[in-house]
Amino acid sequence: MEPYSLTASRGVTTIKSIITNGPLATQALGKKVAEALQKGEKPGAGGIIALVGELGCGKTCFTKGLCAGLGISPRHVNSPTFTFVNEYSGTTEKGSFPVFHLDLYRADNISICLEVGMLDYLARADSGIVVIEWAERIYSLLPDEYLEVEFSVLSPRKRRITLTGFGQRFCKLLSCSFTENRLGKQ
Amino acid sequence: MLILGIETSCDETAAALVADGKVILSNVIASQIDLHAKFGGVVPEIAARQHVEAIGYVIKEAIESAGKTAPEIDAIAVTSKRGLVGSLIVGVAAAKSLAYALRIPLVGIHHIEGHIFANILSHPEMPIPHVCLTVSGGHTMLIYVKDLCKYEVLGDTLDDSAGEALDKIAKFLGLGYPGGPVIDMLSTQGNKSAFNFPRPILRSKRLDFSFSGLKTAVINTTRHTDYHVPDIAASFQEAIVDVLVSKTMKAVLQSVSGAKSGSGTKKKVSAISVTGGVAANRRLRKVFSDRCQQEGLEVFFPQALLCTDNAAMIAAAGYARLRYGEVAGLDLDAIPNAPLESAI
Repeated sequence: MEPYSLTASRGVTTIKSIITNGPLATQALGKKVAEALQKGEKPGAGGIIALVGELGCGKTCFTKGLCAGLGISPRHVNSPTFTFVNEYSGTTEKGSFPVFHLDLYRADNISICLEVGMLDYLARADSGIVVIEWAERIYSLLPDEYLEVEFSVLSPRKRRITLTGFGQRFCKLLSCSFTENRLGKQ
Repeated sequence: MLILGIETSCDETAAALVADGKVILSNVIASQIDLHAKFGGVVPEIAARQHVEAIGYVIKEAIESAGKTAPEIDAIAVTSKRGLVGSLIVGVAAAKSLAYALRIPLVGIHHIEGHIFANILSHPEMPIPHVCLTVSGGHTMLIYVKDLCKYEVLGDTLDDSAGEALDKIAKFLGLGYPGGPVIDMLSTQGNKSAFNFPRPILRSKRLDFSFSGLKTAVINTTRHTDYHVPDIAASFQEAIVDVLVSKTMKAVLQSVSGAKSGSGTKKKVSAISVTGGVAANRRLRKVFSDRCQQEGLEVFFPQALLCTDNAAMIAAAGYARLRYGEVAGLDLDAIPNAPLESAI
């Protein structure tokens, strides 16, 4: 295992803002992100997806869609608040890889995140995909390359979802794959 | 046959001695709720560390208060499936070392199976087959209990568990932890029809649960409306109770009709078993009792001490598994997301 660097110097960023008109559209956006991730060279194409937003904004909903795009039945994807992490097996035409679904709702400071093995999961992101709910609690642990997904509540159903790519790979991914700025019925 | 049960899957460190899967000789629970209350929920790292500190004392207390000695124990049952991985490992390690030292059989139990047995232990007269709803902070599951240790999972939560929704909303409203009892209490002072919250996937024929949308609806309401906290609590609780009861009734009807069961013909179900921490909710008990009376069904709730996580239920499940000839090796592992499986 590569030693994990704690110093995070932020490189280039690309930002895309998309409005979803309901939970289904939020889920569809998750699926789109999964598809974009598959365009990389590695199976599963590795990566960290950091989800940021308040209670009830659609983080688990987005993750269901993301997992659906990675060949995981949405039935198996539920809130890991209680278990802290759910592990799924993603499958695409390029092969199988682990998907780690973390939830830091109950781990509200860095030292708790470290004790539950956050660095181990981040280090395994190379060979799979790590999705982190309440990721704002571990900004300082994130590497230079990751995709941030921030949710703002616009109305009971409508969300503004801001995708920010950190590092070259995610910047390229965003500029190639996301041209529309609205998902779901008007 | 004297069985030592050990349970550390979440925030309780528990050990119990149960004779022949029926008689509880001791049932010791060291709860961490006071500690977790400061943080508004279960904190994994605190849970694991506290288990390590408490487990030795809790096991010793369970043996001594039963008036027994360690060499009298015939087998050990431990929760090894479903829970926080760091917490499960503590109980599993303790169980393995004891089984090795005493040269006695060890069996690993699924936490949900423990909850199913909590009610069998409370009510030996409860008919089998029955439909079991197990509902707590970590899970919301509907199970057709065909026979002892023979299960068919009918429905599970697609996102949040019912207890988790109660905890999160209680924290959001600033009511403290655990959320279930606080909301139960406040609801008695509120109007349960004040807000018409959504009954998630109630219309669907599937028996799965989803409470995430309900949680969002409650949060939205508090943003856009003036509200009286007990009214929100009562209306929110009513929506949860409504979904739990209706889905369970639907499960019983499906079991009776024996529709699309891959496992042969189903027998007629005449009883419902409600277990887990949320089974202590008074409104849930009332609505279940009323509906079951109307439908001519029996409903069973565990005694108070067996509602929340405890080790007596694990020992009872262990007894049943051992009778099927099941024994775990000393390589028994903790598996946080294991599915509920029938005995072979």
